[in-house]
Amino acid sequence: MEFKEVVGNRRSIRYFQPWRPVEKERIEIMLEAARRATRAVNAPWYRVVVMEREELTPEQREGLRTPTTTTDLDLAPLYMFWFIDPTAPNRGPTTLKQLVDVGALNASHGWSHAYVDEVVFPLVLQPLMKNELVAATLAACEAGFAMTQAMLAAVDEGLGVCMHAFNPGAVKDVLKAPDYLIPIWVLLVGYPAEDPLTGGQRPREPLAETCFWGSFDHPIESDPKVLDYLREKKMIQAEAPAPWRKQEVAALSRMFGLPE
Amino acid sequence: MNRETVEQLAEYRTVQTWLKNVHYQSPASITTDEDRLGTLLKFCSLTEKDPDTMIAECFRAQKEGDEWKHIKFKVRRSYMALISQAEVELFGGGTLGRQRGSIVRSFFIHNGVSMQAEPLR
Repeated sequence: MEFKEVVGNRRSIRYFQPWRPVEKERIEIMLEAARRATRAVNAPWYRVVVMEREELTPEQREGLRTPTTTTDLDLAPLYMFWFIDPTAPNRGPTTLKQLVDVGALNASHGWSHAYVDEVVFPLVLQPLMKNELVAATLAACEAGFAMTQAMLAAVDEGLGVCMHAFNPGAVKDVLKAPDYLIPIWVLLVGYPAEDPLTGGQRPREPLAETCFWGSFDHPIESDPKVLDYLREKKMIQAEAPAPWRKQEVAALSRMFGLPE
Repeated sequence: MNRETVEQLAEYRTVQTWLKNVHYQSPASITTDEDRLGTLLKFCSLTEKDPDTMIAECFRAQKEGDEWKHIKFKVRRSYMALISQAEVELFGGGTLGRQRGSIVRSFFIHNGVSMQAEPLR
């Protein structure tokens, strides 16, 4: 699938085929895609624990629930629990020098081993890590890049995905995450039971509401020619709801014995 | 709750809210209002409470300054357990029992009390 179509096809899937496992090869493809995301300091800002639904007891699964993470947990065959690591910059002295050595960070831009050791680590990275809020915010952003790549790789493999909050206390003893890692999201993965395109793309605000040229005084308006091109490439698709979506939801509710 | 009819049940504020919201959100449902009301009536007989009382019990009484309603999680859980029990003991179990249980859950959900059941797999 071409990249623009992958972006256009990604949806938050909430009805999975619970009987169909996700193949280990496809899981690894997702994880390899996550590994290759951009990352500050070239350090890993995330950890992820992968688990099949049935590896948790019903009580543990029940404990994971939040007001917004509900039946989805019972339908998805695979969970990926993501954690952020705000201490990732500790690897800077090693990882930044690796980037110098491979020609990514160059003297043309002021970089050298000495610069890493004498300026960047003590004067930038260490103060950053001392501010817990800043460190966690940066870590969440960096982990988000990796999570997005994992999601898009899943869509490219024909899988459905959806990010959810979770109650980490319910699985603390199962996941055994070190205390310095902060739980962030659980990514539910599986083969969609609903239309993989969920009857259309979900609402989005106009480009001009979030994107600006030069200053906030100049919102960027969509160019109709670009929109046409992106429709052709399937990044932009028909908006939800499809005329049959309510019937689909009713049928899924009946199939799974769920309320309407 | 006294011996009431389906017509009397339909007069309750929470039942009217339920029907209005379920028609809006689930217009493709094949469940009829007759089915809905008959099922809820049976459930109310089991709990010996009227619909408005059951919903009110699920929320903490609002204090001065409260902007939002707060769910009482223990009460909600007890109703969830009661519905699961009713699926078997009152509604006959199996697929039909589950369908009836889903109707009762729908009543709570459309009155703001989110509920889940283990999906059939």
